[in-house]
Amino acid sequence: MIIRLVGTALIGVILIAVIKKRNPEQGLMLSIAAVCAMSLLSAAVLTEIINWLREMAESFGLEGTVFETLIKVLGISLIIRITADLCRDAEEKGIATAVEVGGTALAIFIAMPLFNSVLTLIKSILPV
Amino acid sequence: MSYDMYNMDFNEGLSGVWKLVGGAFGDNIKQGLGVFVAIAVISVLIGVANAAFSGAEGVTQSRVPIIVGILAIAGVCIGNVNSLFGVLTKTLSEIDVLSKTLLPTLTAAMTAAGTPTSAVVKSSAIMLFSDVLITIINRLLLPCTYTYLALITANAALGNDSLAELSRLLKSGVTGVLKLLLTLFIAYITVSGAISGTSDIMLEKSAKLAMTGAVPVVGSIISEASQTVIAGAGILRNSIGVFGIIAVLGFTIGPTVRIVLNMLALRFAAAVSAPVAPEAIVKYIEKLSEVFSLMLGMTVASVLVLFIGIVSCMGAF
Repeated sequence: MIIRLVGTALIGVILIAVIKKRNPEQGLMLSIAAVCAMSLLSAAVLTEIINWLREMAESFGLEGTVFETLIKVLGISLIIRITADLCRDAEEKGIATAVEVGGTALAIFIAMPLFNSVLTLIKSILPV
Repeated sequence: MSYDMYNMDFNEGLSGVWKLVGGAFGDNIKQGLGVFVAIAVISVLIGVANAAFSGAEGVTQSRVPIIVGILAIAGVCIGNVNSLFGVLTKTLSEIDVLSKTLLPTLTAAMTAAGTPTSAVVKSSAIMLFSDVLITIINRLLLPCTYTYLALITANAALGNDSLAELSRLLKSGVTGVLKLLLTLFIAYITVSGAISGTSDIMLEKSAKLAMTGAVPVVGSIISEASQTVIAGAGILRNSIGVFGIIAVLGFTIGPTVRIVLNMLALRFAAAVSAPVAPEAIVKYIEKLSEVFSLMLGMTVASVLVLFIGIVSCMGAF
């Protein structure tokens, strides 16, 4: 796994370094392809880790909705980070910022049920 | 668990309390472990999400993963805290009922045992302080603890420590009131015990003198025989005291174990989360454990008043 990951990364970096000087557009596309390939390689391990965490959380009584919200926020964070970095590599800082803002808004939207349930809990215990 | 109180001895009572401790551990250890694991899982996930959100140079430092983590931890813990508040209120009302039932009986036994002044002074002080303490906990300290919980959650989510001072003030207020009441109680019991003890000795001597003088020939014999009655009443007084101590332990051991286990679970979770989770999350977990510390303080204070009172009535000081 680690050899495939590192191999893909090194081959991608070398190819991009060679191609980027002659054709920057192709270099960017190669960069996106390398990122996608490496993300797919990591996805299998990440899925295993998440399944293990889910099993552990369920067996100790952590609510499924709370866990799903956390996983979604984690997924959004990773995707946003990679996409924003790709945009910055392409010298598109505006798009990178827009992606981050959009990702943040989406994470807040996903966490809204959690926010509501905590607010309801706090309101129910407060004496006023 | 029910006992035949007419045939119960001290060892049997203690073994009953020990069984209660075992039961309380068995019931609550899984729940405490659940809190620990849930918080550890949340901390790991939020640690990774936070690193992804704010790891790169020039990327906007977003607090979204931290806020989501705090909300998730609050969701896990606040329900638990709320149910423990209910348990604490129930325990306090049980202690209140016990003190109002036990102390008049103890007063009567103390009076029969030849210490009427001490009986009135001590038992009225215990009843007064116990009542005042339980009323203050229910009306002031518990609402302050609720508010403290809400404030630390809001402060952790906001992340700028704007509510930190207010929450610190509430916490020190709650601990300060508990310390003050306990100090006043112990001081009162010690001083009143010394004064009323002297008064009781004088009363006993004058009663003996009066009896010896009033009844011709057998007056001195009756006066000496009264010592036997007083000694018997002393045994009765001590038995009531021992029963009271066991009853207090029985009422409070379950909730105390539950609070301690929850507090320990949060402390361990904070320690385990520290290397992976953002600092704000670790601090929030530590603050949540302080809510349980405050609840423990209230339980222990209300038990101590009754405990010290009973031991004092039994003649220890």
